[in-house]
Amino acid sequence: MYPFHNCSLKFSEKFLEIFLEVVPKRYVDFGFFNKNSNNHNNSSSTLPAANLPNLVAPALDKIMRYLSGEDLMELRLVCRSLNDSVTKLDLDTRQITIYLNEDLIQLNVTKAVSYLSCTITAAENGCIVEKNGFCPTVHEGVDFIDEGMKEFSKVTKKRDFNVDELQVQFEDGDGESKKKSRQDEFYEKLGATLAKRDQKLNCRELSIGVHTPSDLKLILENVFLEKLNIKVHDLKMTFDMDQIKIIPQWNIITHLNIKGLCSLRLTDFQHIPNVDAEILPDTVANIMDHIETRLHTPAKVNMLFGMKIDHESLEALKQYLKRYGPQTTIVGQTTGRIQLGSDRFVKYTLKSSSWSLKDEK
Amino acid sequence: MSSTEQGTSSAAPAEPTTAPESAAAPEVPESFYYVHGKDKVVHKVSAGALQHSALIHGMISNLGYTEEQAKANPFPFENIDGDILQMVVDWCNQHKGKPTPPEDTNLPKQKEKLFDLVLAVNYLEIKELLTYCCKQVAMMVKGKSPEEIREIWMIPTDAEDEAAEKEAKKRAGKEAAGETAAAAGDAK
Repeated sequence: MYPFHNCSLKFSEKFLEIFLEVVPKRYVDFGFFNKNSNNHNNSSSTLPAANLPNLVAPALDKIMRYLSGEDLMELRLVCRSLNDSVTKLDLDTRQITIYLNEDLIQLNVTKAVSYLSCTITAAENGCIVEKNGFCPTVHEGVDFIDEGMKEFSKVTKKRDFNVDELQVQFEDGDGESKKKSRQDEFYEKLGATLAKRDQKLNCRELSIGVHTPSDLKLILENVFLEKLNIKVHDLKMTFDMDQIKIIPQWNIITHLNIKGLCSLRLTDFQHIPNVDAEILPDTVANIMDHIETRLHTPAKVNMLFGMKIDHESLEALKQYLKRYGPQTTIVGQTTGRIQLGSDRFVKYTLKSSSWSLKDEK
Repeated sequence: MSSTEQGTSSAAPAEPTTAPESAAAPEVPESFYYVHGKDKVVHKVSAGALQHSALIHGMISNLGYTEEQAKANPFPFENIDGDILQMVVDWCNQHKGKPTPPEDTNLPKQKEKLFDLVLAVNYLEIKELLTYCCKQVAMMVKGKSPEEIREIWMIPTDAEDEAAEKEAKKRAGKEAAGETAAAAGDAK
């Protein structure tokens, strides 16, 4: 235990003498603790040069990102400067989840330290809003979807609002016509709420469950994103992406994950290095072209295409890839490694139902 | 035509023996640069090892700092302690041309050194090492109460800090008054 922590607030001369004996010189080279120093006016100089509260901001930010919410709460109580740092970090929203049910919307906002769960339930003459399970308030004559959108715009009202991940989900199940129309209304209103913003919403990752292409279009048009995860509701149908691939945002996506068969062609993926998608069958020539283009771009690839390939095409592809090096075939799965330059290897896998290309670490 | 060219073209069996020699020939000798810290002790570091530091790599590649210039004028890092710079140089040499592992257990355990290393690494822009250091600091903070954190890092409470500030102001005021009184005495 350091005498510093046991002492009363009165800093007597005697205490200073003891303190200077106990604490290493490098900690008391300046400021108040050094009686001979001239640097008295700098209050922050009571701390050693390199200490937790006065570390450089990028390093402190990095450290805090490894800590749990509980640890950050403890860190807040250490001193004012660390409290300010945690507050700054807490301005960043890590995740927003909007979940739609037949008669409720749940909005969950996760930050570094704080968490908000807002449930808006449909009632006879309006809706009931409950925040973090407390104080349910009745909003008469207001539809629960409208109220949900109001809460969402409140959360994202800042002009330069950023969120790491935005999740939009709805209850799965066979849709009755009434339920489906409410879902359509929800996407329409969410799109309109996003469109009202002065600046497009910045979300690094958008994970969205969709019924129709227009559901996706309404949201995608109004956000900036890097990663897009789409969960198609009706897995029996081919999801039409024609309206989506013409949106400017499509060209800035770096990660794409689609659960469900979609109408995209290999040429639509040329700019996306990380893909996991199920697409319609394509010709061998197109697949070869795509692989060739990928191998000649410096960006690292990680792609898995679910695609039906007939026996003849599979053999042709195998022959084409064999020229890059040895390959092995085990139980209908062919794998091989392509060396690109001195330190880059791309692994490929061919099956009758899929093919993949992946940069090896 | 040179003698080696004649040999390889006329005698087929000579090919396997000449091939490894020709493959080894184009290897370029590694270039070295020099850095020094506060203690002025010069450290010799290879260009490959220095690639970890975005700052030095930028100096070499963008500003055209050649090996000869580097030898005559080592990179001066006056704000970095000699032992800390040594640690950084050792780490860069150790991880030269290798993929960095997910964990690094060779970081200093003493907190003062670790913080100095964080500052140095942040300044030199060594991304991977900064990540390791920050992870280590985070591990030291994890699960600790505010009192324990204060005790470990000798952080004063706000009340103590304020009292210290007041005392410092008071002392400064006294000294300033003393100086003006002395100056007035001198003038008389």
